Amino acid sequence: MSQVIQFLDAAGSNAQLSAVDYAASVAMLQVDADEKQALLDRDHLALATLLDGRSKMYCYINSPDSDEPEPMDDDDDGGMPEKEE
Amino acid sequence: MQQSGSLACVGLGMMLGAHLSPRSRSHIQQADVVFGLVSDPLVELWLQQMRPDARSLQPFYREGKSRQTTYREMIESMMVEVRAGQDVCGVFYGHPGVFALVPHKVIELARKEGFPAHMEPGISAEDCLYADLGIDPGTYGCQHYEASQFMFFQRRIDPSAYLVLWQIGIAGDRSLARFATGGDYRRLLVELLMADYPPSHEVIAYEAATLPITAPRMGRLPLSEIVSAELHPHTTLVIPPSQPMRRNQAMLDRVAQLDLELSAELS
Repeated sequence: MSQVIQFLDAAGSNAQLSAVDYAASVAMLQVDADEKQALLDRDHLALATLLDGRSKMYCYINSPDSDEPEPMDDDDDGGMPEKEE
Repeated sequence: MQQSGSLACVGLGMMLGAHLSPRSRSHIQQADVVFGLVSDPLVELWLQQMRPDARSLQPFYREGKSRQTTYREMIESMMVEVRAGQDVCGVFYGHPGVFALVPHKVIELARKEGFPAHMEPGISAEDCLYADLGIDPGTYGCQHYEASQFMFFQRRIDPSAYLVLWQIGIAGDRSLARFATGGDYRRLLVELLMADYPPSHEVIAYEAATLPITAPRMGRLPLSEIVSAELHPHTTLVIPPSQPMRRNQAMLDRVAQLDLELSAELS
């Protein structure tokens, strides 16, 4: 697992991680300097870019009227979409 | 003989590392096939590292494409694997059953086709909202609506309770194909709300923290400024009560009478 992701996972479960301990933990990580700086800056956007995270995330999974008929999309051919580059 | 194949929909909670239940984690680890729909790219990377074979449902979204089609495709892609006899786990952010149509629908379909299917609860943005804003829904009551549904249907709201509007970033969208609506649509929503709330009424634009290195957004602003506020897909609008609760004296009197009668019976 990526050390950055592993670190974030561990940080999320540590309620007592002080700012000092956080910085010290980041300093000990064996990661790229850019990643380390982004962690120190708490810059999640930069981290996502550095780690090749998905650039656009959607989170709407609810519709206002579930009884409305489904539209007929012209280019709807079903199935998994092609993998993004 | 019971056909093989099963479905479990689990929630990761909102914050990476903080909210995943042991039971939900075991579903992710033990499933034959994992699908994921999470809201943060770093959380998605975490899921991918836990399960390198996990299939993201994100690519089904596309600007201009109806989300009803997107949801149908997501459901079908999961069901293909269930029907193939696989133990499938759908991983969603927050709670998979709170303002989340896809997990409910795919479980409903799996059960209809005779497959075992269930949902594991997770920590939702609603739960984080209560914790971060110091709100107990039991104090004054709390109403939750999807923002566009609130606009499209006639709802009777109680302004002496909290009102929470979800998916405020696409308030008023009927196409289901947009990922943001602008100030003109929000102006209609604000006009609707002004029937019960003054334009100066303080509301809260809330976003739960998804990473331990970020903080929740708890922006307080007058209701009227919602029109021009910066709102994101994950922003939730919290509207505190604008009026005190009003006693239902007729019911209180009836309860008092009942108490007297019960006391008389017992004595």
